[in-house]
Amino acid sequence: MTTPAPWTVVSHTADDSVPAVTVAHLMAWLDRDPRVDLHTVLWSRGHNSPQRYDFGRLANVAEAHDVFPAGLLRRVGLSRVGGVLAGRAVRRTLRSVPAEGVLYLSSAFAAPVLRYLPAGERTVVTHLHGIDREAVPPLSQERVDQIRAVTDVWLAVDEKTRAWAAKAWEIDPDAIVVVPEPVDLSGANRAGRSPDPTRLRLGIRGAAWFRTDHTARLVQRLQRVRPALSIELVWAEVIGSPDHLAPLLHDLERLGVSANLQLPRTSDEVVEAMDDIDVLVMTTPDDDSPWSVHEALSRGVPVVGFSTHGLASTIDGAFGMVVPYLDVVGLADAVIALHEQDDSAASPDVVRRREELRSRDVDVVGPRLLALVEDLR
Amino acid sequence: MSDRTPVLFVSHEGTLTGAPMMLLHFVRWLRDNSQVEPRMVLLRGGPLAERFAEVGPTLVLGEDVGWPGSTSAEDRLEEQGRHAEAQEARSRRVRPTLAEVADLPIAYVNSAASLRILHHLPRAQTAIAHVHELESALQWAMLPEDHSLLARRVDHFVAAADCVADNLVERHGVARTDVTRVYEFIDTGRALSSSPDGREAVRSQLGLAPDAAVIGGCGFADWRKGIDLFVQLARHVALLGRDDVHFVWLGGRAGGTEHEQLDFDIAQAGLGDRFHMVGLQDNPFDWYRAFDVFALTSREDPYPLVGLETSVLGVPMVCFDRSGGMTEFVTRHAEENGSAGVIVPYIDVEAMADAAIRLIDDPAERAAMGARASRTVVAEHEVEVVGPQLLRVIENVTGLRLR
Repeated sequence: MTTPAPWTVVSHTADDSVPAVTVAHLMAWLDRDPRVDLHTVLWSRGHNSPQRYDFGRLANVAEAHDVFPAGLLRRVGLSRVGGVLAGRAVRRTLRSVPAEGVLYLSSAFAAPVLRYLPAGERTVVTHLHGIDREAVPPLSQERVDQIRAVTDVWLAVDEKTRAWAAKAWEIDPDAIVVVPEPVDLSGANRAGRSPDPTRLRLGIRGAAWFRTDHTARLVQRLQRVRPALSIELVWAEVIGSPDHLAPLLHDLERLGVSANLQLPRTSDEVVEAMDDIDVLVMTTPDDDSPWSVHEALSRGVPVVGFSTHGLASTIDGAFGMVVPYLDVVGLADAVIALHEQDDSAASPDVVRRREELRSRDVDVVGPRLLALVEDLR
Repeated sequence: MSDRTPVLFVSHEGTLTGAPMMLLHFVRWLRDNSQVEPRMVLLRGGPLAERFAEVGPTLVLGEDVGWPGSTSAEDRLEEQGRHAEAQEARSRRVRPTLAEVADLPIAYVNSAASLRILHHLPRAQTAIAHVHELESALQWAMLPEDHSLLARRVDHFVAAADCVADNLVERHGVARTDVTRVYEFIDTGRALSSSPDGREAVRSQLGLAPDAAVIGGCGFADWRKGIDLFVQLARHVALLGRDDVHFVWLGGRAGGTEHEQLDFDIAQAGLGDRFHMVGLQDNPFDWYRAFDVFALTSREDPYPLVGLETSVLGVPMVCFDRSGGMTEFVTRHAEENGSAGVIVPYIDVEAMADAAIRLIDDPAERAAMGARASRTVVAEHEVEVVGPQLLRVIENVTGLRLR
């Protein structure tokens, strides 16, 4: 029997960015594969729980950064001394990382870990995402040089990122393999779900547009077309400032439905809430953190949004519907259609889109990644 | 020696906005029609400061003592959670300047944004608060420490609408008996004497056909005034196939992200040249006259003066239920005379579009409704009518005879 190969997978943070979300899906898949001996690293703290990266051997560097008294010293202005102490704590935390095998960086933002890892002979895989391409300001030349010096396998999530890396980082484009960000679609079987036709649990998020969004108008419309339907609103996002919710609550109160809104207290509850959502509605015209959409995709929760949304091509048909921007009537119709949809009647177009989406399934991406790295090692 | 009674009137600023304008009209009326000797304090200045000074002695605190606002020492106390000490430090700074008005028997505080001055005036002074705000605006206008003033320091409230009175009672523990509702007023003469050519002039300026229909909106283009809903209203009217209807919004707008969001929405709505953001205008009445229908898309608006100004010119209004006092205006005489506008469910843009189009397509009903609205404003919202009501409140609270 073959000895499992050590894989150390690093997430740059625990926030809502695409690499931080999808790397957890990849970790979970690798953890199940008998060919892999998984170690995980969380580089910096984010507002989501570190638990999603913990598969038994998590080096939580995020905690080490603030180890006592390093954090305290930094806060009182003794940054240099605090930094030295934190550096030692980070190195101690990373001692458990294997000196050989594969080191997978979920994005270039995970590269600072390189400085602190114990010496070893690792195959370094760097997976470039949109956040690397769109970073403002861009990564420093020093950081780019560091990553280029150690990376053995370059991956890019799409052609656009590949072209960018070739030009901006001067990497041979033939050496960059396009591998989409992996999403665990194992629970995404809508036919296996059986929504209660008398009860609609609507996932909502992102009341930032004009300090409000279209949620209240959507609820009003749904009540009009389905007066008997019991509508519950599940806030599917970590809450920043309560001030952001005030305008939405104002509208919901005027409509007499503010009591229908469930708010999470912790980020873990947001993840769990996905299982209780019938339809997720993206009411903003675009979004930098499609975390909710990825979570919804992985659980078979259909998504409704506006056609201006960056994820429209992913969502539309295969895992939800998009409607023209500002079309709240259309939004309500789409929610009803998806809630009441008989999934067995999927159109050929829907089937085709789902096939396309399958290329992002971690069950497809995972084996591909293993084979790719094995070939290149 | 004058036998007039000096009364302190406090305005949060001297800008050309609703509450300060109304107070200016009121103190002018008092000077000319009562035994009140108006003395004014403006927390901040503005173009109206000179006009207030023409009525009586006027102190502008923002310029004289840098208050409201904090010194760095006061800020540090706040940061350390020592709020009472910070408040006391501010009082020490502002009280000497307020000394000349501190012995006046009555302080008439106009708008919730002015309430904070009561921290620095003697408790023996009878305080009357004229509240023009509903809850969102109250939260915005008042500092956290100001909320206690509502129930503990103010002797009587004047509420600008029934909904304002209800909010004070239901959310702020104010006794119903301590509130008198007195509706807002405008200078109807100024509105009615504006040029009747405004309708044609505005259409010409915008390059519209003389018979083009115009739905108007007005106010600072933000969430509270519902500029986003106004854009959606325009989009829905366009979807109804009404390319002949133009939309005109008067008023300032925010910069930054909110500005970009609004432009994005307007562009996405696909309205082409049918949507006009014309900003602030020197003579808004010309623009109001150009409206066929006034769409009050506010989510919260206690008793907007623009609703009265458009109404007095015979422009019928459509507004949202549960959005504020204009629903009181629209329905007040509905049973005997018919309504003075149309109320649709809260934020129901589609219903508002239908109502507006019905009015545009029915000139006779539009004119009749506009006429009813105009009559109501002239009869009930003129300073000659409302001034005595406010004076009566002051008399009742103080027991003084001031006429």
